[in-house]
Formats: sequence, structure tokens, C-alpha cells
Amino acid sequence: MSSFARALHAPRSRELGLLLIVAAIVAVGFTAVLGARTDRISTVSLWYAAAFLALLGIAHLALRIALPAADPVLLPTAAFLCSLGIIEIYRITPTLARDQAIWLAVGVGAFIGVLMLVPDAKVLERYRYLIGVGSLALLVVTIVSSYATGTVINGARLWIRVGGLQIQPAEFAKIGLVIFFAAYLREKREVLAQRRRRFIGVGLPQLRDLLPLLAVLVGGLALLAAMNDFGTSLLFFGVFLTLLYLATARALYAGVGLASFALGAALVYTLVPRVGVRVDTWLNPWNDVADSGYQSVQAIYTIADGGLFGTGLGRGYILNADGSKVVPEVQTDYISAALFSELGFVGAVVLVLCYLLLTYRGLRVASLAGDWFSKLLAAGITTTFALQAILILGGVVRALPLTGITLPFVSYGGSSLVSNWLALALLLSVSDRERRRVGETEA
Amino acid sequence: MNRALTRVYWVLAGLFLLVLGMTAYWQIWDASSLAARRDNQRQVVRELSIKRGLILASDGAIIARNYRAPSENGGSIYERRYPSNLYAAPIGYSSPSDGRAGLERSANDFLTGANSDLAGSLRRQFSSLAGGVIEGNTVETSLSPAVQRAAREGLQKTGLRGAVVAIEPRTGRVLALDSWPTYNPNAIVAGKLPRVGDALFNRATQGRYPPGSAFKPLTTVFALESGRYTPDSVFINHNRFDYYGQTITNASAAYQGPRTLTQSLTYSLNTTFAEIGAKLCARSVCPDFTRVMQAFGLFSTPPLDFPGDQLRASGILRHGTSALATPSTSFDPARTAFGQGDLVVTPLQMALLAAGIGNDGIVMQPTLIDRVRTQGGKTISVTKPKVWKRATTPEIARQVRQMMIGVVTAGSGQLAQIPGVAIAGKTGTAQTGRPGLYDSWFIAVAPAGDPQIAVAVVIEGTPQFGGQTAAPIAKSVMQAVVGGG
Repeated sequence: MSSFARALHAPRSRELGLLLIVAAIVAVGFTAVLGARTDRISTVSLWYAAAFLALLGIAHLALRIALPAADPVLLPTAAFLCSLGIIEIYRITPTLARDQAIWLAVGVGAFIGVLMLVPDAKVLERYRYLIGVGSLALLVVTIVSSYATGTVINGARLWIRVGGLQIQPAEFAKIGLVIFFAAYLREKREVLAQRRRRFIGVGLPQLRDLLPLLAVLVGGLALLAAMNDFGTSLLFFGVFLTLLYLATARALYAGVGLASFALGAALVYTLVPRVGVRVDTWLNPWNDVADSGYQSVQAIYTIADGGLFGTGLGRGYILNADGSKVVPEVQTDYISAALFSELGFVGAVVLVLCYLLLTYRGLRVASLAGDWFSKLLAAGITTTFALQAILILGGVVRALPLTGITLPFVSYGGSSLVSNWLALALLLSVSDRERRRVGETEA
Repeated sequence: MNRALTRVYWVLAGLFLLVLGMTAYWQIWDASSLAARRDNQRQVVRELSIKRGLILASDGAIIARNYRAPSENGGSIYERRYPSNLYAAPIGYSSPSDGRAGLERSANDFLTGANSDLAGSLRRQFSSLAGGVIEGNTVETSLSPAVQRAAREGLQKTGLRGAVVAIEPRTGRVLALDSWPTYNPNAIVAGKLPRVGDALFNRATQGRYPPGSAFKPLTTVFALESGRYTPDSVFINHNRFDYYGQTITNASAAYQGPRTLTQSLTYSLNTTFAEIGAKLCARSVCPDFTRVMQAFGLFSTPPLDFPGDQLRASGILRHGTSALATPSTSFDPARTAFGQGDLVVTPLQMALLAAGIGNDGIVMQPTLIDRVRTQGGKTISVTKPKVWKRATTPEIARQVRQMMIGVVTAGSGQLAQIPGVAIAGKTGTAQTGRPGLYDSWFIAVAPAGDPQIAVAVVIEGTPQFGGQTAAPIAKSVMQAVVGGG
């Protein structure tokens, strides 16, 4: 084997090493939960752990075959986050861990599907309009079907029912729109960066270059507003501004974007009661501790209960005596509260460092990319992971108002898990090509 | 581009740092104050994993024990089980959803083992680290099942709201404490509310009632201490006493004519006591009278080993409020002298009054806990009798006791008679503001020459006098200790 070939395969060996560490953590975690709750749950459910590890092994093998040079840290990091999630879900409600394991299987299937079908993410650029329109159509279909069938969950029109399943199309539209933004900005970045006209002393590109961008953005946000899901809209907005800034290197766009966002937020706060209540709850949840503030206050108590080192897995005060959850919906948006309670501040640092690592490696993929589409796609996917984690973690610990979005890879929920694995596959596919290219030029 | 990427990275890293900063604030900086918040049930629930100590009656009978159940959050939890609802008033409950009340709350440190000596608390720490069960200490109470049962049966029979407190005068040990209607503490543990809305209200320690004539022994102490009256002082009894334009009369006109102080107590003549109050108190601010009340414990919360918010002080209320007056507040000494006006007392306080008179003027600190020992049998703490108030001289106490014997032998309290036992008692029939309905009292101490039990009984809103409803209950409660007929 030539040294070049070895270099190509080295990342996968590092990845396998890291995955083995994750496997060890999964084993320890499940054992801890089982040990703490022997009289409540049976060992049969340990098969979830085994199935989970088998799935990670399959994902690894698929990478070995399809993308041997891809970044070795991304998959183990995502796997680690997934394992934290599934252990905590198993601890909260063992049967949900089975569902989550099934969704993970679907996610890994989709992951492999992407590796096979789109080994080079660059081809997606060709289908940018199809993908952009398709994503918007997904959102429209969601809203229409929600109004038609009356599927409103927690006030949001985010779900469509397919058979017995509830699917959140916005989770998939999210990736589609990132692809579209990346392709569109690749095409227009030069004209957008131009300073053709001056407006109050600031150079601006021509209006006709700016309009489509604004149209897509406003249209997408309007659709999300119609879904009554401001968490996802906020996320889109943040990702879009980041990409615009990266594409044009003009801080002006970010500044104007943030300002208009602040204005919009103030408007939404006064106009939409649901958002108003959320902001008030954020500022002082104890004002209405029995009702609107209940979830937030219980989450804070749950987190505080963990202290520095946590109560230990399976030993936190997560469930009431009757088996109900102390923090409502703790398995989805609030899963970090349960994790921080049982793993303590030390666990919180580890979890946040994982996201930071994911962010760092993801942006590194972007920095290595030779073409603007790949660069923006990698940066867009990474920023999506990072901002989503920041928004929900910040909401749970009350650094930000709560927005009901999932914690990437960790929260219970099929659509979110599958779409995260799809996005990860795209990121790895960019990584593989760019690392080969850089490797070749260096060789 | 790559400089822009670096900037994006640092912005995101800064936001992640913000998240961690907030997390540290909750988990490290603010954790203890969050844990202490009332609406945070974790502290209470955590203590449920402790195998709580038993609570025993004075004869060793189990009042509260544990039932082990698996926990949703690992390990086991111990649920309280109460074999009977007989002790609901003094013992209360320890419930995961509703917290604690009664001795379960006030003795919580003993029952959870949090009070142990150094070796004990070290053992406790190690045991909890090793995942073992923390065991609390056994609390032996002074409650006597026979006395408690007599109190319960008496209250239950009336079908009316009421309370009984029985105390050992020489030691302050509480022999019985009951409040009716009662509740099932097991149901509270299971998260259910009691069927009767006010059943959780502990009338024995929290209920405030006008004492009516049952207060007259204290006024008698006041009269004798002044030196201006003796038991044989004669009062010209016109069956009416005019005071500030209002007329005070007696319940019955049968005893009109000159009567001694002793006879006045025997037949419960309001006019005599109104006159004493009016004569000894020149003005409506009367610190001398207040001082006698304070000497028996009024105006302060009885120091029973019980939750503070389940105890209330007795005394004169500021007119039209539920706040206690101060010694410098003006009140109506004439009506207070026979237990009306703005005077309110708890059954516990009235039992302490009877006990003080029975114990030669010394009011002992009332206690529920006799002894605390580990589940291994080692004694941790023994309650020694302590003096609470030196209320009056032994001579005056004996004189009043002697006078009170007449109430039971020849006066309004004859239904409390126990053949062969000298009983010093006093009836009370307090006006409640509801026409024809009274709060009926009986306080007593028996045997008068060798006091073994002091008792106070109150029945709310009855058309009958204290001598008719409360005295027979007091009788059977005393019989549980002194025996006889």
C-alpha cells in the first residue's frame, strides 16, 4: 500500500478509534441507567444499545467505502451526541428509546443513501432551483395540510400526518434551503458584493440583484410565520445572514439583517400572543409558575439539581412518583435539562464542547473547500447545527427566550434526527472531496 | 473568506460560552437557593428515599411506619403508612405531594436521621455514597393510646367540631391531642384531599375560641394574687352588673344573693368575675391582669415540639382584628374576667392553664417526644421535663384547685364526676355570636391532690352548656389515666 493510500485511509482508522470510545460510553451509560432502575426496566431493552452501536458501525463502513478521506471527527462527534440522547431518552421512557433507535436506523439509511447517490455534493448545485422551490413547496404543503386536517401541535403548524406517522417537513426544507442559499449566493456573490450605488454613504449593489434574495427570504420567513414556528424561522434567518456575510464579506448585510431582525422581533413580540408569553416567561418564569412558567421553572430546578457533577445517570429527579415527567416534553426540546441534571455542569461542558467541536470541524471543511458552493454549503450546514444548538440550549438555560426546536442529534424526534444525518452526510461528502483535492495538491 | 469564517466561528463560540455561563449560574452559583424554593419539591422527594424512623405511642404501639416502593428515579422510596387515623392531629403526615404536617414535620430531622451525632452522620454519608438506604431514628412519643382513644370517641360522639388536649401536669407530656373532624393521613400520602374541607386544620393547637367561664380560674388567680380577695370574699350578687352602660347578667337567676368567691366559681357567676375585673383594673389598660395571663402562657406561642405555623398564641385580640393585643392595648377587663370580650384561647393553652393549676402554679413545657433512638436501639435524645412558666404561688394554685373541686362536686361540672377521684374542673359556655349556639368548654385536672392528667375539651357551636357536652368527654379522658367508675 502506498503512503498516499495509507494517508487516505488514516482518517477512517482515527474515526474507528473515536467510535470505539463512543461505544464504551454507550455501554457505561446504559449500564448506569439500568443499574439505577433495575426494578423498573428490563435487560431486554439493552438491545437498543446494541442496535445503536451496530448502526454506527454500518455508518462507519459506508464512509470507508464511499468517502474514505472525509473528516474523521464529525461522525464520532455526532454519534456521541446521539448516544447521549438515546441514553437519556432510554432513562426517561424506555419505549421511546426504541422509537429513537428505529429513527436512527432510518437516519443512517438516509446517510448511506446520500453517500451513494451524492458522493459529490457539488452536483446539487445543478438542481438548486428544483431544491429551492421543492423546499418552499414542502412548507406550503405542511401549512395547507395542517389547516385541512387541523394538525396543530403546541400551537404550531409544523407536522403532517403520513399514515400513522407525524413528520416535520420543515426539518428537511431546512437543508434544501441551505443548499439553495449556497448555490444562489455562489452565483450572485460578486454582484452582491459590488458597490454600484451609494445610499447614505453606503455602497450597495443594484436593486435587481438584491430583490430575488429578499423575496426568497421574506417568502420563507412568511411561510414559517404561518406555521407559527418562530424557532425555525429564527434559525433560518441566522443561517441566511451568516451565509450572506461569508459570501460577500460585507458586515453591512449582517448588521442590517440583525437590525431588521430586532425590529421584526419587537413587532412579533407585540403582535403574536404566543411569542409575547414566551418572552415574558423568559424574563420571569416565576410570575406564572403554575402555568406558562411551569416548564421553564421546573427545567431550571432540574438543571440546578445537578450541581457540578450531576446526580448520576438514572438518578436525577426527572420523573414524578407516578411516572410522569417533572419537566413536560423533557425528551425533546428540554432534553438538555435532564442531561445537565444527571451529568452536572461537567456534563454540560462536555455537551457544549461537542457542538463546538462539530462547529470547528464543520467550518474547517468550509475553509478547505476550493469552490464557493461547497464552502457555503459546508458553512451553512455547520451553522445550522450550531445555531440550532445555541437557540435551544440558550432557551432551556434562559440565556435566550425559548424557541421550540430540537437539540441536534440529541432530542427525541424522527424528522429532526433523519434530517441531521442527511445534513451530516452532505458535510462529509464536501469534506471528502476537498481533503482529497488538498491531499493531491500537497502530494 | 477564511477570515470571515474565523469570525463566524468566534461568534458561535461566544454564544456557546454564554450558554455555559448561564448553566454555571444555575448549577453552581444559584443552585442552593433554587433548591430551597418552596415550589421546588426535590428536597422533599429526596428525603423520601430515606427509611424514615418509626413513630411510637407511649406503650410502644406503632403510629407511623414505612412502606417500601420502587422509585421512578432509581432506588427505593419509602411511603408513610399510618395504621390508624387516631393520631392525625398530633402526628400529621409526610406526603410526597403535600409535604409534611404535625410531628412528622417538627421531628423531621430526627425521623430522617439528619440530627445524628458525628459518627452517625458520617455513617449516613458513607451509606448514601454506597447506594445504601439511609435510616432515620425512631421517635417515641408521650401519646397514650387509651387517652387518645377516649378523646376521639368523645369528640366523634358529639358529631360537632371540637378538640381535646390532655397533658401530664408534672412533666408537660402531652397524653392526647385530637381535633375533630379528622382526616386519613394515608389518603394525604396518596395525594388525595380530605373529604371534610377544614379537617386539616388542627383545632387543638390552632383553633382560637372564646373561653367563656372556663377562663374564671385564671381570673381567680388574679383576684387572690391581688391580696384584695380570698376564696371567702363575699359578693353582693344582684344577678346584674352594670359596666360602661351595659349590663352583665348570669346564665341563671337561681343563685341570686350574696355569694362567696368559691361559690361564684362553683355556680359560674359572671357578675362576680366582672366585678373583680372592673375593680382590679382601674382603667381599660390593665397590665396587672395581662401579667397573670402571660404568666400562664397567654400572649406567647406554646413551646410544644410542633411546627410553628401549626401553633397559635392565645390572648386578647385587638378589637375587630385577629392580631394579638399588646399589654398596653386597652381591652374590656370586666368581660375578659369571665372569658368573653376579645379574649381567644386555644385548647392547648387551656390544657396548660389546667396543668399549671394542677402542678402548684408551675406550667411545664408541653412535649410530644419522650425519647429518640436509632433503629439499632441506641438512645440519641431523652426529653427531660422543663419549666415553662412559674405562673403563680403553690398556695394560690392549691386554693384555686380546691375551689375548682366544688365545680365538679356541687356546681356546673357534675357530669365529670368520677367516683373515688377528686377532680378540679371548670365549665365554660362561650357566646359565639350565633344565637343559641355556644363554644362549650371543660377544663379539669385529676386527681386534684395528686395531679396526673390535665385536660381541656372544646365543642364548637353546640346548643348545650359546657357542663353538658364537654364535661362527660373530659371525664372519660381522665378515666383513661386515673381509672375509677
